[in-house]
Amino acid sequence: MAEASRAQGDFDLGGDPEPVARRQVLIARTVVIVVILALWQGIVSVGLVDAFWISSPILVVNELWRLLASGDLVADVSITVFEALIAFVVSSALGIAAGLLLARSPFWDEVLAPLVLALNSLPRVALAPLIILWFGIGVTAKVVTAFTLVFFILLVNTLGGAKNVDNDILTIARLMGASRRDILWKVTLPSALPWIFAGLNLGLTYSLLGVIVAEILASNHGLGYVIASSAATFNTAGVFAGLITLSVVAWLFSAMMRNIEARLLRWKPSLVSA
Amino acid sequence: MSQPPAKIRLADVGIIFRPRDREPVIAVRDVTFDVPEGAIVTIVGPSGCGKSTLLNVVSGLMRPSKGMVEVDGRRVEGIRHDVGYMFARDGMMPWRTAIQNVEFGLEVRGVANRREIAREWLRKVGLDKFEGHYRHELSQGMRQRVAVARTFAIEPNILLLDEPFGALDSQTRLLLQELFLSVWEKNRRTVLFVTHDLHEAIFLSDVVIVSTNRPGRVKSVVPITLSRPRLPPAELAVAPEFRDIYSHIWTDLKDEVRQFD
Repeated sequence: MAEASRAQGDFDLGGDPEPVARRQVLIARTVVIVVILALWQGIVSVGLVDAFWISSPILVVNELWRLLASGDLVADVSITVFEALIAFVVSSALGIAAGLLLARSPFWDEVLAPLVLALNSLPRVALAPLIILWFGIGVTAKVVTAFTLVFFILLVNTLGGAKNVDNDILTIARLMGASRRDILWKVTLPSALPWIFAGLNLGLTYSLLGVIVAEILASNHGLGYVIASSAATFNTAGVFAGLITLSVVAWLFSAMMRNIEARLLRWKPSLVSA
Repeated sequence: MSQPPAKIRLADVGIIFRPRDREPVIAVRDVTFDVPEGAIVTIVGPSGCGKSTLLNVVSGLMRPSKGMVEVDGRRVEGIRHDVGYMFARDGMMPWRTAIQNVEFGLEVRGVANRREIAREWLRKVGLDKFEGHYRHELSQGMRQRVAVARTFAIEPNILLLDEPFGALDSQTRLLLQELFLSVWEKNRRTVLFVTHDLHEAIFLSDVVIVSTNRPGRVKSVVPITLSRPRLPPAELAVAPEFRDIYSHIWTDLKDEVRQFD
């Protein structure tokens, strides 16, 4: 459907490059992955590097299977996903709200701008030890750690988007009788949506990062704990099993976001073709 | 000609901009004129003569530094919500489809049957097949048609038009001028129009006001006596009456434009 309506637009200037053959891409991608795995396995099998340090694909698959069969992996993934999603939803909601509020009040924006900048520039994972001290090793500490990262991303992006609303559109909306509330919900928010989504995409990644860091530092659950405890017991296969699971989770997260974004930003020319 | 009541009245309006760290700029000075109910009055003048600024004080977006602006006999204090406003940029909301753009004004006014009204207006501007299209799927001319539909759909008390066809190629511009007039003929709203295109000014207006260079003042007021409904612009342009009016106004305007060269 998107294709059809696009074809009718007479001002379509989208200079799409030659479409890449999908099949060939998939084949080439598979080959690249297989080659990497084969090299990894080969290095260990030939004895170039001891499996103690870098494990091997076969050992990792065995370890994954063991973790999966014991039910530990499912439990750890669930808790990490749960923490990351809670942190993501809460921080995003508050970050977006704060961004919109600051956009409405130039005074407070001016007052808080340096503070936001300072906090946003601070490598906030450095706060994790303090947060663990305050909130213990449970779910709260993970959510709070992720919050310190995600909240500011969404705040900054929403504020940027809300300040960049097209002046013509604002003028017309006001002259047609839009109230401040109308402007907020029907003009500022939809107009800032591409910026907000850029923030959400980043925020989801950082949400996972915050949770994993907190789990690695102090925890008895989650994928971060799997990675940290495996490394502590010299179980490199366990470390890789944790990492691979983590990248699958991260990939699923970003696929989910892309999907929602494509639905909500259907009006963006660049996304119609994507 | 009996004097119809003035719908819009500007009396001794002066507008001074005071930019920070720079000399104040007098944009408009001593401007006095009336726009009679149901008339199209056009201000022509060189760019930078404060034409757009005058529209802003009528809409209440801006306060005049001096003098007074009235609509319906009442002083304009603050932003008006009964104004249809169009400018060269279409001002379409890219996140809304064509029909949703037309609906916007009705929506914030709480009009229940807004969908039908919007659809009817899209039909009148010839876009009934494009109601579900987003801005990037429409040509510049189509976007401006949406703007025309959006502007008329709210049944504005007055229309303020700031070079609404200025960004269009010349053929599309002629078509849209014609479309605009045919829509206007049916409801005869009061229009204050601003342009630097003299053809457009004469084709559309009942009265053309020639503005001086900055600071903008009223140089001359020329009633356009061509009968309505007007001929299409391309035909009208070769009519002898038109050319007389054109050369008359151009004599006035020329000196003002020349100062800029």
